[in-house]
Amino acid sequence: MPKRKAIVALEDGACFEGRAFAGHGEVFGELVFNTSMTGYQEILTDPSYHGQVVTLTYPLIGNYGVSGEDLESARPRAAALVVGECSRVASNRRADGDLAGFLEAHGLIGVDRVDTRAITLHIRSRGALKCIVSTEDGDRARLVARAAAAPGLVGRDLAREVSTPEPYRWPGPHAARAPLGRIDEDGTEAYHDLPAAAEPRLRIAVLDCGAKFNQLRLLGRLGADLDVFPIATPAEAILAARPDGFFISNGPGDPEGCRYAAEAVRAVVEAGVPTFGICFGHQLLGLALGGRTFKLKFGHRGANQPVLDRATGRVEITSQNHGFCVDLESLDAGAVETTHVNLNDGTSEGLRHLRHPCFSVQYHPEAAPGPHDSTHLFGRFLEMVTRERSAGVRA
Amino acid sequence: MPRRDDIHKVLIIGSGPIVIGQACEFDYSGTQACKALRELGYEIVLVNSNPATIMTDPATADATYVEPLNAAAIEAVIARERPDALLPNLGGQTGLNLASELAKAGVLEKYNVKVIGVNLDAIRRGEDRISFKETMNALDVPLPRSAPAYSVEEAERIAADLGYPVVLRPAYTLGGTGGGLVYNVEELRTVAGRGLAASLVGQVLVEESVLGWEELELEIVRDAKNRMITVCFIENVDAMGVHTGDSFCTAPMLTVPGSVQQRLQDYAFRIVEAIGVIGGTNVQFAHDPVTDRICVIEINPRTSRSSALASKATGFPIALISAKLAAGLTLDEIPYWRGGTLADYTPSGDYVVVKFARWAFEKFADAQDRLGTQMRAVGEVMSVGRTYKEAFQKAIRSLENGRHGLGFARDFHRLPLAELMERLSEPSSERHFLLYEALRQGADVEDLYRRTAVKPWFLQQMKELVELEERILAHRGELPPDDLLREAKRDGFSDRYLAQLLDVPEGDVRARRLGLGLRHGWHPIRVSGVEDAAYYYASYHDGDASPPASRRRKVMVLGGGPNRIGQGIEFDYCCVHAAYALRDLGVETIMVNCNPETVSTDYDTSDRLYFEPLTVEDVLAIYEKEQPEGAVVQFGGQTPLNLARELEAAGVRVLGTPPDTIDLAEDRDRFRVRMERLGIPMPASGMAASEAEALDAAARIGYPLMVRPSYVLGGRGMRVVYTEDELRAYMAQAADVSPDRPILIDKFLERAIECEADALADGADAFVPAIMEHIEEAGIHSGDSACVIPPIGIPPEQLRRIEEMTGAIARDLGVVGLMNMQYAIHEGTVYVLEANPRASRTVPLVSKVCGLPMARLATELMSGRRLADLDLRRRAFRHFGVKEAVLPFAMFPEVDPLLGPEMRSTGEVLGLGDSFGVAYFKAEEAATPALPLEGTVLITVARRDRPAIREAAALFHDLGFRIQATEGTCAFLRSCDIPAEPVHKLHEGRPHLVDALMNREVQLVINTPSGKESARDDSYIRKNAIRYRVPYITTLAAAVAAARGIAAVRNGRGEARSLQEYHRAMDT
Repeated sequence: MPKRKAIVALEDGACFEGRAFAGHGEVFGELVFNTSMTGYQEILTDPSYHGQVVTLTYPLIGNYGVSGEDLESARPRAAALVVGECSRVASNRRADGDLAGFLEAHGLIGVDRVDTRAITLHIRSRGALKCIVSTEDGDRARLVARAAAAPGLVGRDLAREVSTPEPYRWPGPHAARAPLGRIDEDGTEAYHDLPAAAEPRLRIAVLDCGAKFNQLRLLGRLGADLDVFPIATPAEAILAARPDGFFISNGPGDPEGCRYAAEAVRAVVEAGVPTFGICFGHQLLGLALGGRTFKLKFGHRGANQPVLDRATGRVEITSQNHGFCVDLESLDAGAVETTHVNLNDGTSEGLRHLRHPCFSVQYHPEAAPGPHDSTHLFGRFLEMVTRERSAGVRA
Repeated sequence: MPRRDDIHKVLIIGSGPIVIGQACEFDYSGTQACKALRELGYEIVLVNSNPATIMTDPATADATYVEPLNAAAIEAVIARERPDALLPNLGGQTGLNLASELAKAGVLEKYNVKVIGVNLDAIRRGEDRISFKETMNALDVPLPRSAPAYSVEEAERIAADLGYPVVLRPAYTLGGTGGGLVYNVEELRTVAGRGLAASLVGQVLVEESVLGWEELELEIVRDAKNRMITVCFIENVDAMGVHTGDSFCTAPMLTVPGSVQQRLQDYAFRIVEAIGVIGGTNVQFAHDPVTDRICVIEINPRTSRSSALASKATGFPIALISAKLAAGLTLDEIPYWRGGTLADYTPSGDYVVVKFARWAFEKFADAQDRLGTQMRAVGEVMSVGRTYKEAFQKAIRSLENGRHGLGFARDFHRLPLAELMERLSEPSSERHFLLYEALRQGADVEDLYRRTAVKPWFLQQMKELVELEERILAHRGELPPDDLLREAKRDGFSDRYLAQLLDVPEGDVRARRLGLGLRHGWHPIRVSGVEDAAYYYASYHDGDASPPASRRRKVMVLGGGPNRIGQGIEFDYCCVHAAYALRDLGVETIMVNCNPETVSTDYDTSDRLYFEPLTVEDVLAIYEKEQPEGAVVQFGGQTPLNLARELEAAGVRVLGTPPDTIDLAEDRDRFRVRMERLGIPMPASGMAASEAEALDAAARIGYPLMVRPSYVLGGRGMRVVYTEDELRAYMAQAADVSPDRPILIDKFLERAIECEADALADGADAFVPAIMEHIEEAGIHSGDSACVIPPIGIPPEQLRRIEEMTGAIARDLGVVGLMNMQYAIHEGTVYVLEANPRASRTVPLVSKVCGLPMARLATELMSGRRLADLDLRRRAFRHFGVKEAVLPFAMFPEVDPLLGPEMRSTGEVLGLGDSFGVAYFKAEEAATPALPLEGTVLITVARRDRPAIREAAALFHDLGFRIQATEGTCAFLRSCDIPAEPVHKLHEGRPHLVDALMNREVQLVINTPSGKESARDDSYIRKNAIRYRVPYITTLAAAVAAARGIAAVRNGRGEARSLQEYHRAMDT
């Protein structure tokens, strides 16, 4: 079948023309870019990208196909994918299929033969923009107008759109569909520096705002049994499960769009349940603790964001993907401490409550794709949970 | 952490001569290290035996010792210079081994020298196979599975467990002898039996084979705070089984999932932390794409060929940063262009880098073109493109082997598919060209993958190129439609190759392309670790992202491309000096080169570096963008010279000697006319475009003859021919002979003394700084012959004559810049053999021995200065410099290791001393193996050489050597009253001379080949000398020189002195 023409039209009038290597039709979204040289499967299936049209700066994509164990959720979450050149073959014995087929199967539009460097430079100077990807309408002016008129992400509750509709357990059927990470044939784990799994196993409640499987995999590996709840679950229902700890996952969009979840988080934290949040979870925690969030002009995306851990003085290279950020100034300095700072722009990357056992980070310590610098945070969380539990038992 | 204050003077050991597997990448890393450490205020003492390096320039270090690289010589330097630190991981394996040896012998402790950058104990743990395995087990890093066996039965059981094929490695044998890969139980029984017998402890390690797994490399840099970063992820397109030096590679990895790369990095970090290197480490892995298993294969805790490639591919100068880290700095103190510090570094970029190797199988007639676990490549190219296809095609045209695209190499397109498939079953230097033709004939990607283990993605990309090429071929005889041309240019097809495919002139393709607005755009590779630096690559994708050309005075310097035999590091040395000299003159320099191993492609050698193929298309585009006042083509060897004419025709101004003069010197007729006019004799000569013409010329000139093709460097295809039959045979096998490219025929002056002179000229005047006398007689290529400065056996009036002739020729030709002349002195007459009005191999040698920066001076002359302004005088000196060639025969065991008119050396060393003898001995020592000071010399020479061997034999006898000789030689020596003991040849019964070599009963072999006079092949004598590392000499002149050297050194070799001291001691 001959490939169709595809146009990516931006609200500011810019248009990029390419070829649809998968899918057809039209889709709206926010156009963002990611500069990682590898890890397209993880990016594509990361629920944080829900509602976004993702451009990958590196020009050659899809070379090693798609395999189940490198997925971050059961389906692609981005609204569309824009690349320089998509490979016709999946050069990987372990691949379950090729990238075009994967997109096609989930009804996504994939566009290639686009100058992704130009898009990256454009967004870098203008900030993330609303866009439309179309294989049907060839009228650029009309497309631009439609992109400009489209509703943006601000205030929209995207997290609810990607959160699980029903509570579930992990390990469980979901885990079976996404194999438990990678273990070498000789028994060595991919993550060698993980602490020993907690004994006895811990019961952790997870608020799914668009959780990446790798976060669940890591918690499971470290000795946690998970109850995964939809984002709109009230605090009472979470507390009724009598969790040892509470984990708030990553997710897409504007946290202000789900104030209801921030309320639930506040109630759980105030009930004394040890809490850990990542990315969107960090933002929810910030809101729950009385802070505000704001939209970054460019957002932080990519696998090479330097973050200073104030406690250790160590710089970690982190994987990030967020367009919103907790406002440092908005938090009560007497109650909440900023633990991590982004070295590029000085924004908040982590916080800790001084009285309640809770902390969170803006970046992705589970890091798939990305450096494995920060996986120790999951260990720190479960240690905190274990400590609190034994303290509770003693009390 | 700031720099260390507890050290002040740092010793750096270089890697010695260029050999296969250890090339000029160590000049690049060593030069960077010197630069970095001097910038931090340390004093540098440098030892390296290779004169052709930038590293050994007197300006690079504070004290430069051109001495043999062995423990005794380095101890002497340490005793004299008293450095307080040694940085051992920048001089390749040679430097690292020497550091270990010095530490083990207690030398470092004795002189209180601290080792910086590495922990030598930890390195030993990494290199010893057994402790390496223990270390990896302790770290939980997987290795190929293996188990030791003490009997054949046990080996069988283990092999059955692991599955065939398996690798057998006998424990404790010399160089792994007796081991190998076995595919079945029969082979296993044979090899295991042999291996168990060979092993000192009766043990054979049975190891699973990882043949066909992906070979993946990471370059890790670690600092004293244990911060680690991965500079580059490299994927070998050729799978395990082909040495990584021969493998075609890409950076970044293109077909390896991100999750696998993460695991590799986790393992690599663990290893590097355990080994404790400060600076760069290369870690090589095998990954099984089927089971997803990963094994670590080896680590190189030092700079390497891969680290040079990684540096150039990413813009992260690993050696520079490593040296700073060794001096105490940490990554978080060094700036990073993306913001923050190097502690935040991660590989980035939106381009593809390809490395492709350059081989020299054509130089070794008997060598088999087969790639395996031993490296065979002599050089490499790196190319950069926006896509893999573009980068790959650029790599092919960078190779400079006459191919501008992948198709139609040799006769491959005429071979039936079955034969192509058969040839593909074993890796060779031609495999990717064979793959291309196989795909053209419809071979299946999966089939090819099964056969070659080259992964489907790479094959698919190649297949798409073939498909596009087929569409282009459909337009043969005309220019293709615009869209097709556009597509072809985006996919990296060169103008030249398109012209070849379409059978139209290249100029037509270029004109149409430019008419369509299809132009190069350049994109930066930003340099990490320094403020604001970048270099550039071109692409036909996505416009131009390079800054506009400056309005300053500027000059373009064309580099030498890949190293190959006959064109090596010397030419890079000249290009680098040209850049330095121009910078000092206030002229901006633009460098173009594609060899990642070199100093010329270091980011700060020139003002603007273009990492590009040296072809008309690529160079012209840069020239047109930059608009320099001219281009320097005479420093980069044959590569830029081959372009000069076309560039000039396209409007490029060539600086210095005009291309027409360079052509004139190559054109026998035109040159002879000039020489006749000047009254300078040349050996009788002729030219032939056919066998008949050759026989005619031979009849006129008389045998013996020297025959060769025109327009070659390094004596390619050159032979001495004694008879008509030999001449017929030569003409029959000479390829591509045409009236445009005839065969050159010269009278061969037998037993003549050969010498060379270098000159600097400004078009009107000339200066001759040095005359070099060859040790070997005429007939041995000048690149392979040892030579001495100043001459020792040429009478003063002939020296004067040579100087006059050199000056006269330079003036007559109007040379501006450098010229090298070759002469032969035959029966009292000086003949001109050839004139090379361009940089030659001897430039760095003369510069260092005579204390005169030749390339710099030549550059000044080319930029308009006059000789008179430079105030040059011949300076008298009392030292001697001997250059010796280093030959790669040990890498080609099937080749007869003889010298001849075709150059085959890969590198050279320099020996310096107060007498010819000491300098010669030191040169031999540096070239290894060293000459013996006593013992037994085995002499076996051809009948025609017997009278002439008498002098050498007498000298060895007087020195107290025992002489063993084969029957005829023995009888002759006895007849001259030189005592000799007979020894059997191989076919004469045992014990024979190979037994004597094997038993170490012989310390030196003097053997001249019997050639055509004997029916028996005597090459086994020389091959076994190499195998058992016994020094051997194949010419009579070298035998006499060796005796003089041994005699001199027995009286004391004199104190080692630095180049700076030699130069200061010269009469000023």
